[in-house]
Order: sequence, then C-alpha cells, then structure tokens
Amino acid sequence: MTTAGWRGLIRLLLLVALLPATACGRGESEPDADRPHREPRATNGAAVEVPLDRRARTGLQIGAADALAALTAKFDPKNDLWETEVLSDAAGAQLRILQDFLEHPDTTELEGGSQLMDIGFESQNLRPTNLTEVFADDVLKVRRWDPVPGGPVSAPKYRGASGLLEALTQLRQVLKSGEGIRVKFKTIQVEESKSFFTTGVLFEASSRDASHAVQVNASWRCRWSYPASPASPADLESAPLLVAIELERYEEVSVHRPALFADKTESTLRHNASYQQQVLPGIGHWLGRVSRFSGMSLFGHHGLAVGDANGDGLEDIYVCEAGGLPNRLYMQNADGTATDVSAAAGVDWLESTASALFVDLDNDGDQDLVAATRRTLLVAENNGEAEFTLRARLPDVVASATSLAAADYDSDGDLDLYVCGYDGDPQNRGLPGPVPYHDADNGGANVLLENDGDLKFEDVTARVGLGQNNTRYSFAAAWEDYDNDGDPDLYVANDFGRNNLYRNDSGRFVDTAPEAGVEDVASGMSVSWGDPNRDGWMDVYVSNMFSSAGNRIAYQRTFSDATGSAASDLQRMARGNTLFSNNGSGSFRDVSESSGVTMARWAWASRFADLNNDGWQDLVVTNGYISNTDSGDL
Amino acid sequence: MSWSGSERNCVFLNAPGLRFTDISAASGLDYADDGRGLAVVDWDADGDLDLWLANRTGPRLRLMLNEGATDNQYVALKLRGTTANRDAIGARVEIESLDPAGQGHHPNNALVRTVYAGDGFLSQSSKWLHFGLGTEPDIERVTVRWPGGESESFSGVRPGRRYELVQGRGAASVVATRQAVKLDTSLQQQPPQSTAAERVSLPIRLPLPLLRYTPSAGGGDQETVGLRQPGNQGRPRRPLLLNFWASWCLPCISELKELTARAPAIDAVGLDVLALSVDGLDRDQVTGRPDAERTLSKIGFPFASGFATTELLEKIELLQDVLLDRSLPFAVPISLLLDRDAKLAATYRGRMEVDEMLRDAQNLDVSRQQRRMASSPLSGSAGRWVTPPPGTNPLWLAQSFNERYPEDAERFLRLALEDRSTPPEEAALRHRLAEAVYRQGRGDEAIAELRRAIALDGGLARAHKSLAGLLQSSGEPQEAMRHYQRAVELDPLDAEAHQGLGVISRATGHKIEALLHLREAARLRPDWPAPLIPLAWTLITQASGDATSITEAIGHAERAVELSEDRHPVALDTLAAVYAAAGRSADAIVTAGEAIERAKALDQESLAAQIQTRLDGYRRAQGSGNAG
Repeated sequence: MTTAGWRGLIRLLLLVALLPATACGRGESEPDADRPHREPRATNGAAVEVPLDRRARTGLQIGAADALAALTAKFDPKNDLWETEVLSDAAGAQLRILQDFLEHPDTTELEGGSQLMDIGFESQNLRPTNLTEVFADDVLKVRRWDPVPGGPVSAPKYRGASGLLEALTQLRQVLKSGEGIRVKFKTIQVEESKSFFTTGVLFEASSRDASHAVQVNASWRCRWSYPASPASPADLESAPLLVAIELERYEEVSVHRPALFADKTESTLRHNASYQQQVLPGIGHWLGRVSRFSGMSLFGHHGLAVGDANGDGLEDIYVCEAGGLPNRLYMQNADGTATDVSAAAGVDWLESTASALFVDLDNDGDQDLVAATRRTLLVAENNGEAEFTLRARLPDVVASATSLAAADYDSDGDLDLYVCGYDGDPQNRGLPGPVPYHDADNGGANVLLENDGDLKFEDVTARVGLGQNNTRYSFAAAWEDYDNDGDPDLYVANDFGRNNLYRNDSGRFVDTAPEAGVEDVASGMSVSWGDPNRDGWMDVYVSNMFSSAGNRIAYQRTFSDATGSAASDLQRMARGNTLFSNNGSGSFRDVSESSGVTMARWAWASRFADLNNDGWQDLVVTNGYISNTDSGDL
Repeated sequence: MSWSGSERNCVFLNAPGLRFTDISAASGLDYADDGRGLAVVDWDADGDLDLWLANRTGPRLRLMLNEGATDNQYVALKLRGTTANRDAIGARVEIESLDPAGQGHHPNNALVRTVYAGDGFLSQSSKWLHFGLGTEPDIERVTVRWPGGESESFSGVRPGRRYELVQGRGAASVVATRQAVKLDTSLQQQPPQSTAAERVSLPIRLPLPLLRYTPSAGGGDQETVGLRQPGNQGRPRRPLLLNFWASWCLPCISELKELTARAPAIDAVGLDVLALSVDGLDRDQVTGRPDAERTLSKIGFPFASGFATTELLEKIELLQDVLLDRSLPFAVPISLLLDRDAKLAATYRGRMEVDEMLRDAQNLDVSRQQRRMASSPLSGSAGRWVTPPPGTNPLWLAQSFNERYPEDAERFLRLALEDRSTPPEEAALRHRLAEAVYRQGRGDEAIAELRRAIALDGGLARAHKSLAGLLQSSGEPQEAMRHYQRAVELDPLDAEAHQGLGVISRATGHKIEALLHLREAARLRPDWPAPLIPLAWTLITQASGDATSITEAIGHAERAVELSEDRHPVALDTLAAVYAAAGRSADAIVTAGEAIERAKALDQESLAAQIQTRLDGYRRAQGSGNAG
C-alpha cells in the first residue's frame, strides 16, 4: 500500500504515536549554570523534537479521491453525523470498568461502579450453567450455550449493583487462574431507540497458568440509558448508565496445557548473529535507519518459504527481508535448531523481498529458489547442496510484487509461476490511489510466467486469458482444482474490491468469480484452499479486515444515505473473513457467518491446517496492520 | 480511531464440520506482532503441525511448536513426480479410512489434501502432506491424482509414519524417522530497545534544496549551504558535516563538545563542520541567539557556526520525508554529511557516533557499488545486491518540495533533466517543471515547458489541460480550446478538462459545446460547484423563455450555492440572475443583496459593484413589471 492516501493515514497514526516519546526526564550531564532555564528534554542520545514555530503549514496530503481518508474523517466521533459513535465511545468507556474488575481478581468492588449502573439494572447469568460440550479431546474442550431460538427468554436473575457484581464474579471464577487474565470488549453495533440505546458487544476473555488455559467467547447486548441532557453529541456531560445486559452467545474453551503452541524461536535461532541483528528488532527499528532508496518500507510485507534446501530430509526456512537487510536462509540441524547459511548459499540478497518459493523448476531433484523483489523476479538454481546460482533476473515483471504461487497450469510436467502485483506504479506517487475504494480497478497487473525449460520463463498472461480483470490490487493467489477436472484453477485475493476465480479449461482461463459467487467484495489479503467439511470438494477461505468501527457505522441509516449504493459494499468490507463452501457444481456458497470465521481482525495470512490431527482442518490467521508499540523507536 | 490497532493472531478450531470455535487465546498463537507470513510445517517431524510466523514488529519470526499432543494419529506423505513435475505440485491425495470420528457428518469420509507451492499471504508452507487421522485410524486406501489427471493407488501406508510416494511405483516407501527434537521453551524472545542515534547512509547521493542560514561571523547576510562564497573560489571543495543543535538540548551540547575534542581527527579526513543553532525557532522561544553564542564560546567550538531558519528546518523535514518511509518531526541533534558536491551522503538523528561519522566521511569517494554496501545498517558487509542500484529519482524530491518550495523543485527537476533517458520521461519532467516555474510566477516559461512536454509525448492529458488553462488566461482562447479538446479526448473522465472546455466554448460563443461539456463536468464531479455556475449562465443566456432550461439553471445555481464555501458571492450572483431570468424578481433582489454583502465581506469591491449593477436591473425589471 504505497498510495498517497494510505501514507497520509499512516502518517497521522505515527505522528500521534510520536508525541509521548519526546517527553524525557533529566539530562545525562550537569546542566550548565548559565544555561537558560528550560526543562532538559533528553536523557540519552536520542534526538529531541523541536516544535517549530511555523508559518501555516499545509496539512496532511490525503488524495481527494481517497475514499478511505474520507471515511476515516467521517468516523471521527466528534463529527456530529455519527452521534452513535459518540454513544459507542461513551458506553465503551463504561465497559472498561467491567474489564478492570475482571482483570484484577483481587478487587472486590467495581471501581467507579456507582456511575456505571442504572438503579433498575438487571441481567441474566453472564456465565450460563447449562453448557453443552461440543468438542473434546484429551487436551482441549469446548462447551457452548445456545439460546433456544424462539424459546422463552429466561427471566433476569440479577438486579442492581450487587446483582451485577454477582454475575461478574461468576464469570470471573471461570478465569480463575491467578495471572494473565485478559479481557476485551469490542462494540460492533449501536442501536438507538427513544428512551435508551443498545450496544452489541463481543466479549473476549482468557487466562493462563502453568498447567491450563481458559478462553471465553461471548456476545452481549448492553442496554444503556442516555446520558443526562447532552448539549451536543460531541460533548457528553455524563456517562450512559447500564440498564441491562442480555447474553446472546457464550462459549468456553479450556485447555489442559498452558497453551497449544510454544514459542521456540529463541532456542532455535539464538546462536546466529543475524538473530540478534534482524529477527529481534522490528521494522520500526529500521524505518529511521535505512532509506527508501534501499527499499525500506513501513508496511513490512515480507514473507517466508519452507523447503528442504539441501535435501537432507529436514525442512529449512527462507526469510524475506526489507530492502537493505539481507534475506536469510536458516538451515535446520538434526537437533531442531537452525543455522544461518544465507551467505554461503548465495541467497543473502539485499533487495526488498516480498515472498519466495522453494520449487524444483528444472526437475533435477533439488529445490531451486524464486524470490519476488519489488519489481524484479530472481530465480536461482540449486546445485543440490544448497549452493545457489542466480540464473535469471526478470526485471519489471510487476510494479510491486506481493505473493507468488507455482503450479503446472498446462500439465506439461514443469512448474509455472504466478506473480501478484499490487500498485500500478509505486514510483509514481501522483497516482490517485485505489479508485473507487470498494471496487478499485487501477492496480498493477499480475503475471503468469510459463516455464520454457533451462530456467527460462515467458509471460503468457494475456495468451492464456489471465489478462481479464487483472488490474486490481492483488495481495495473494492460490492454485487448486476446485472443479475436480484435473487441472489447477486460480483464486486471486484483491485489496479494495472483488476477487478473481480463474477456471482453467485445459490451459485457457476464464474469470468465473461472479458466476461462482466468490467475488467477495472486500479487502482481500490472503487465500487458502482446503476441505474443512470433508466432502471432497475444495473450499476456500479469504482473509479481509474485520472492523468494529466499520460494522458500527456502515449499518447506520445515515451512512447508507450518505454513501448510497456503496453502503452495502462497505458493510460487506467491514464484515471480516469469508469461507466459501464448494457446492461441487461450479458454484460456492458463503458460509462465513454460520461457520463463525468472520471475526479475524485485520487479517493477513490465513491457512487451513489440522492442528490437532483429528482429520478436520482448522484455521490460523495472522493479524495486525501497523502497531505503534514497536521496539527501539516511537 | 483506526481500522487496525494492535490486533492479535486468530485460530479457529474446526469442531467439526463447518462450525468453528475461536481458540485464539487458548492456542497461544494470539500475539499482537503485526503478523504477515504464515508457513505450516511439521518442523520437528513429530507428527503434528508447527508454524513459522513472519511479523512486522519484533520479533520478526516465531517458531511455534505444537504442544497439544493428543491421542490422535497422523500420517505424512512426500510426493515425487516422474512424468509430472518433480515436486508434484498440484497432486492430490485421498485417504479413505474407517475413522469413526468422521462418520455421521458427511457421506464422504475421505481426507483430501493437495500439494501447494505458495498460498496464504507471501508464504510457502511445507510440501509434505499431513493427515490427521483421529484416534482409531484404519487406512483403507491411498489414492494419488497426479497433476495432469492420472490416478494411482499406493499400498503400504500405515498411521504414525512418514512416506515417500513416487509416481509409478504404487508402493509407498518409509522415510526414516529423525531423532527427537528438544527445544527449550523457557527462552523467551526479547526485542532490544535501542536508543542509539539513527544513522541513515544513502546508497545514492541526493541533491539538496537551497539551505539558507545566517553565519555567526559577518554582517548578518544569509548564505547558502554548499554554495561557494566569493573569497573561497581557489580552495578545493571539502565535504561538510552540517550539524543542527540548540542551547537547551543536552545531547546536542555533548555532541558539540565531542566534535571540539575530535577537531584534529575531523581535520585529518578533510571534513568541514558547520553548526547551526535552532535557538529561537521553536514555538516557545525560551532561548535565542545570544544563548547559542554563549554556549559555543564556552565550549570553545573551533568550527564554523551560524543560525538556522524556520524555512531551512522545514526543508530538512521534507528531506526526511523523501529519505524515509516514515514521517519524523524535526528534532535535534541532527547532522547531515555532505560530499564535496554538497550532495547528501548520510544523516545522523540523535547523538552521533563520531567514529562512525568519520568512517563515512572517509568513504565519500568510493564507487557506486561500494556506496551501496556502505549503506547497510548492519555491521560488517552483510548481504549482496543483485540488481542495479536505483537512480537518484529527483522526482520524489521535486514532488515533496513543489508545493512550498517550487524554486527547489525546479532545481531538482533541472538536475533530473540532465540525465533524462527517454522522451516520455523528459516529457513528464518538463510537465512538472512547468508547474514549478508557474508557482514562481513565470507563466510564459511554464507555457514553453508544457509545449516542449507535449511535443515529446502527445499523450499527456494533464499537460494539455494545464497548457490550455495557461493559454486561456494569457488570452489565447483558440489554442486553449484545442488543448482542452485534446485533453478530453485523452481522458474523457477528467471533469476539470470538460469544465475548462465548457467555459472556453461559452466564451467563444459555442453554446452547444459549452452545455455538453459543462454538464459532463457536473456529472463526473457532482460535488464540485465550478461547472454549475457557467452552466447556469449559459442556460439563461442562450434560451430566454425556455422553461426547461430555466428550471435546470435554477437547480444548478441552487446546488452551486449549497456546495460553495460560505455561500460564495459568485454563486449567489448566479442564482440571483437565474431567479431574475425565471421572473422571480423578488428572490433575485434578495439573493443579489446577499451576494453583495458576501462580496464586500471578502473585500471584493469590484465584484460587489458588478452585482450592484445587476441588482439595479432586477429592481427596474420589478418596477416595470409592477407598473405593467
């Protein structure tokens, strides 16, 4: 995402984050006696910001055409168009009182509770007693409470301040582990009525100790009284009071382990110098130390590839890096540790690298290496002992590369390469950015490179029909034979709009996404194929962004009025990830919501993997856009 | 508010069928690392799937080993193609078994997995196919459909082992199990906290904007960094360390003291130093030049010194924006290392390591390739570049400086023109140059540059549009019209070009064309008042008495008033005229009155006078109307 609008938004986020970092304490050296009276503002060598006395400086340069920027402006709660956003913020602040109580098991009172509840407060059990076990193996158990549809609503059981305390205490008993309690409320819906308003809240809580872990997933509907006489929505004089909590969904996960996975990175890699230098510091560390002219970029879009580079039967890992930092090949040792051999292997390339593949391109029994640097595709031949020779540098394959996916699309016995490109031309910063935001068709073209033998490749994109609908902001692609006709088809996930499903008809492709029902108009980040329902037809999971704010706002009537027909698309964009179940007849049905896999936050990679060996494929999703809590800076 | 936040990784358990349970926290994978890549692999070959995660924040990698061992069994298969591609990418394996766990859910109990090379996002997972088999597996049949469609059954596959399946062999061969892996979990990753100065060494040399400052010695006249002073013509040029500091900044003073102490070493590498104080330039202005002078004399600072200007500091900020993919406010201390040609080679933000800076200063004359290696932030020469180094790309600089400092933008563009390569590139540069010189008030030069740009590349729609606009205001409507027409042909979706063409068509009496293009402009940019005003005027002047045109004109004029900022007098004037044409004299008079007020409020006296003349006309019309 190198477009102007994105940059503007990021800049805003970073500037805000920078402010507290400049507040420093006492200086390292004795203040000179004749030094002017001024608070010394730095402790160490770090630079101190000078708030300039400027002439009027033009503000953020956000492209006028950038709908995201416009939307973000609209999401400012101070903008009175979104009164519900102000209410949501105020109610959210109240819920933090509950969060504090739950996260601190030693407290017995609700701090600030008197300003929290209406006198007539009532709620049901927040931790139902009649849970049904829906999954159990010898490690993990899932118990679920399902309200009977249309059945009698259970009468409120808890009333007043003591009632809420009691209900919360029961919930807290589930999270009984002494440490590591984490509670989070996400407000995803706000509804106003005459005498009160209601927020739909996702409740996530977990705790962990040395022998087990608990996780609670619930949905609450919180009813609030309006704050007293709000002069304007932006200026609430008092907080809304909680009138009732209604439980809509409750699920409890317990694990007889501290966790299902353990971080073994340190013991695997710590003997490598590159571990200290490159693995531990985040991109934020490098942003102020490596220039854009070396290919450093804020977004940190650098992936990895697993493969057996030296043919010893152990899997190795190739790590793609930001520009100016060498890519790394960590070769696995017999004891499970891994050693950096990138220099000896000749693959310590400094070009900014998005993704890489280990593939046997010349069918000689070893793993060759393909790396997608920003504009140039690098192809290196393996001599069988993890010594690589760069055989091809294909310049300007795409303007800004993202993911790679290989397959033998024409079934001729060798592997062909599909390269995703994102922007049209990142060099040209005058580009208007993705237009329109929810259906952008001005991105970079993706490319299919046919293997012509001897590590030579030919661009056959147009010839095979992959030129259709090919100017989108593509992040990822994955091959799979979804129609079970024997040749690999291709799903492409695009940011800012609709995706592609290219059906392979014996080497000719047709974009069949609309007919197949898998366009998934959203912010496509990644794609993974699998068979989670074990019907022999491959299903597809696409990751997008789940946005609480987007959910709250995009469903408001004011929003629909303001944005017209784009509103439903924007609602869709905020929904989150999508699971399409293959009907087996060339079409898919969207089972995302019924299967419970939409809310996966600001998702990037996603993949099916049977984590517990029960034969049913689970899902893992990586997350987070740009966090400001980075090491060594900010 | 943002759409992102510090979001945690998610895990969904298939429990089973198509109803998943969020087990993110229970899994232990829910780090908030700005996760990017994800590769699935049985790293330790112990029969369950582990994960490698690639992140944006530190730690950039996590190896997450699966510790959730259950009684469930597995089998892992590695495929090898013979006629199919050797990696067997695209091969699909179906395992039919009698696992009771799968029964009752679906008629087809088979497990199906495909060999992939690249999926998810920026990632490649293992090519081993991993099958979880449940607690009581009984493998009935293993079928491979090789890429290309040929199917083959394999015998001899038992749970709990790893096999290689070679195309055409029909029998699976066992892969030897490896020794058990024991990796210590107690070791946790600790990303370092670095407070060292941020050194940025450039792989290229960047031209600088004009950096004007006031030298301490001298009569207060400004000088420009890197420009030779008249008395210095004979001296060979030397590299320069340009240091910014403030008397209230302790790290700055330590740094100046160190530079003072290291003066002989600095001189030995032939480096000049110029320290510019920023005292008095910050918002609080607690300190001033006398404080800076006192501090320097107390230190006995042996190098040149002076005072920065706000403009200079803003330019440093703009330079940082070009250098780095993040935005930084101006901060001290910061130093710039300039080579003999006064081009930027490195920056040091925070208190610099003087030895490191001296090494950089000694290496200023190395080759381009060596320069690129020296830009590495890692100690030692780590890594290799395998593609040609990038150009300087003065376009980035020009774009950053164009708005506030067009004279610098012009310098950068002229530098870029010196090593231009293709006509389209030169055309793009000249187009931007035209903008830079126009912003400096040199309209004729701008026209000349645009003509050259168009001669080099006739397809530059925006250049045609810009040229048309300039020609129009310099009184050459016929040529302006031709360029607007060309701009519209090249980019039919450009509302501004349609608007320009509409206005000029109207001015030259082509009313049909005027209506066509103004309407198109209004359609393309419905929130833009500019085309609505001439559109309304055209409608009421061309067809007196045509009720449809009048109605349309009222709509446009009312919308223009609504869209214009603070009820702009021109929009109000237009609306008044439209009301008058519609015979609504009373409305016209009221609206024109408001227009005059607004014009006066904006000090636009001549506009107010024009509207007054029209208002008098409306009054007369009303009077005669009443009389009649």
